[in-house]
Amino acid sequence: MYDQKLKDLEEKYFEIENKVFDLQNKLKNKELTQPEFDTLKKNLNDELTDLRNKIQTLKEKNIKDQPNFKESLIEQLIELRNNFQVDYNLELKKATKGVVYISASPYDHFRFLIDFHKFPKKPVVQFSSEAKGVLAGKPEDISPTLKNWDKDSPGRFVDIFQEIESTLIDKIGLKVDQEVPISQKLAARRKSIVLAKELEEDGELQDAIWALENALKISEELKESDKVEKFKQKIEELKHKINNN
Amino acid sequence: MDDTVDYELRTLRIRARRFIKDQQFHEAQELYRNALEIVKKRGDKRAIASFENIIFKIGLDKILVKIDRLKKILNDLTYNE
Repeated sequence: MYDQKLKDLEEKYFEIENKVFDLQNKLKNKELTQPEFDTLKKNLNDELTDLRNKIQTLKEKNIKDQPNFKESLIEQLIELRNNFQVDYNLELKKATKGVVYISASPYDHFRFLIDFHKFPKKPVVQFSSEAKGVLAGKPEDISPTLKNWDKDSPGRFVDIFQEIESTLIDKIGLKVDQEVPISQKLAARRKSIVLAKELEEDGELQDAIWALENALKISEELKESDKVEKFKQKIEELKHKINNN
Repeated sequence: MDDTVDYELRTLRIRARRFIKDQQFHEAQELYRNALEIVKKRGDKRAIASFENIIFKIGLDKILVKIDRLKKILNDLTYNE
């Protein structure tokens, strides 16, 4: 169907092109009077404008005929959630933003905000403070999918975060099966606790829970039962706060 | 989901979008045709429709570029006694 449409339009174009070259030859050979030339030139110009408008209309219609973007957005959000830990601000159908959590190693966790309320236009990706400490530059410098975003043919959100994850893993340079020294685990836990406090102060309770869960995991690994209990209690306290709000 | 195929599709899409930005429509269309073949093998109807749309739209852009060029040639024609 599309091939035939394109063929018809191309034929129309070549028909006008032949007329233009014919006019050019006649002009060169002085076979025309000025009024004849003016009329022919105007007619050809009109024909080209008509064809241009027709194609432009088709193009716009074609964009409207594209797969339903709302549906496509929901598919993207599900795909993203299947690949990463994500919290959306509202239920899936109404969501406009999300926080994506990426763990570059068992002890290095990062958050990213994605705002997709203008989809299919380019989503806005923001690095959180801990991510900015590792990733230099803008999200567009790290993700080719984001850099080359085209609203008529949107890329996949999951690609953006896979590209970011891959850069993070390269930067952190830690193999998952590598034995991690205790000092590094303690440092990671301290980082998580500080972050959790900051997040709680900012009212970002869901993120504060996530940071505390990271600290909790490390404490479990270190078999520090008193700390495990302490973190569990704090997490419960925050969950309670969320439920009461 | 086949990761290799997804990676290939993703790479094709990125390269094609780059070509479109540079107005290299023919090259972009070729890459999208390759992508179309991949999704046809997968039987993903939605992706097939989407890629067919994109290829069509690039085809329209190609004609628009030719029209603008021809309009310029036409406008440059002047009558000399």
